[in-house]
Amino acid sequence: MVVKEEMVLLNSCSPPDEGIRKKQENTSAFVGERALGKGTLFIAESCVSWQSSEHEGQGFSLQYPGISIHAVSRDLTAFPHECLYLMVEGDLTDDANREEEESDDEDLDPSTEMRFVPDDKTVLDQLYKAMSDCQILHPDENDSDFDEGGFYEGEDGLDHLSEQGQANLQRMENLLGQGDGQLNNNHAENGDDGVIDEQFEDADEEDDMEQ
Amino acid sequence: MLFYSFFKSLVGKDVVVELKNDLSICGTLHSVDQFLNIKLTDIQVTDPDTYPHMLSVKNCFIRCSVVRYVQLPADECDTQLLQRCSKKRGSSE
Repeated sequence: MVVKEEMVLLNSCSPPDEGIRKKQENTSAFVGERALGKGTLFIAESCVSWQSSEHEGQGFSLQYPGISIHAVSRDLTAFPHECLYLMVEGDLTDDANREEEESDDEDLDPSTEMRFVPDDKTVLDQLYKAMSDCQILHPDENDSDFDEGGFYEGEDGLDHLSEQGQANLQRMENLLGQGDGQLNNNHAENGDDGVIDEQFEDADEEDDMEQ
Repeated sequence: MLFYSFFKSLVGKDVVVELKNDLSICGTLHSVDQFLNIKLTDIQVTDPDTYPHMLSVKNCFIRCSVVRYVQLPADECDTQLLQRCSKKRGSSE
């Protein structure tokens, strides 16, 4: 069970000063239905942070373990702006009705939707990629099973794969930039090289757009 | 790493990812990393009333720790292979 940090919206908050992968000015933030105005979005290795430009020194930051999903949303019928969409653990809104709704489901983890709308919509894919790159820097602390050894490893594994699966696996290795395939798994799980090269991941998408 | 390899062999297949907040997302498995973070493309949600905006999302990144279950296409899963791998893993411990 992950202990959630209490996140108070628009607190006094300073932007991250290192490990910034993407800084996007003129970005509006929305928490649930609530608009927080314009500000600057920072996607840093340690956190995602937003600083209001209307209220100096005010903002908030999100820790990666608390960010369940992130995505780029482009359908304007669901929300009037193309945006970077986040689903964040915990109820960050003050909406009392929401709690009533959920009281039936005690096991249900509450979540909050957040949206970042940059004026420049062309950066959305870059924001998504930056978040993906940073998210994988933050595995669960108790997820240490990988380091206890004895896991499926070595070249024999490939022989066991069905032709279809093997083909897919090979594709995957190419996609991840792990040309040596299985041998690299052991390396990756030690955490030193946790960053996966995804340079090919959007190739299909770009092809689609050109057509 | 067994499940990492297993999921890698399912890339490109349609799966349903069920999250701990009861949201279920159907989509094509785009990629998976060693922590089993999952990226889906062409997604749909099974409960559009609760999460209408998710219908508008083309692809998404799902953090491993929020996944409860992943429903897999039965005909793409080589259960004998999985068993062999599990045994192998067990015997090497």
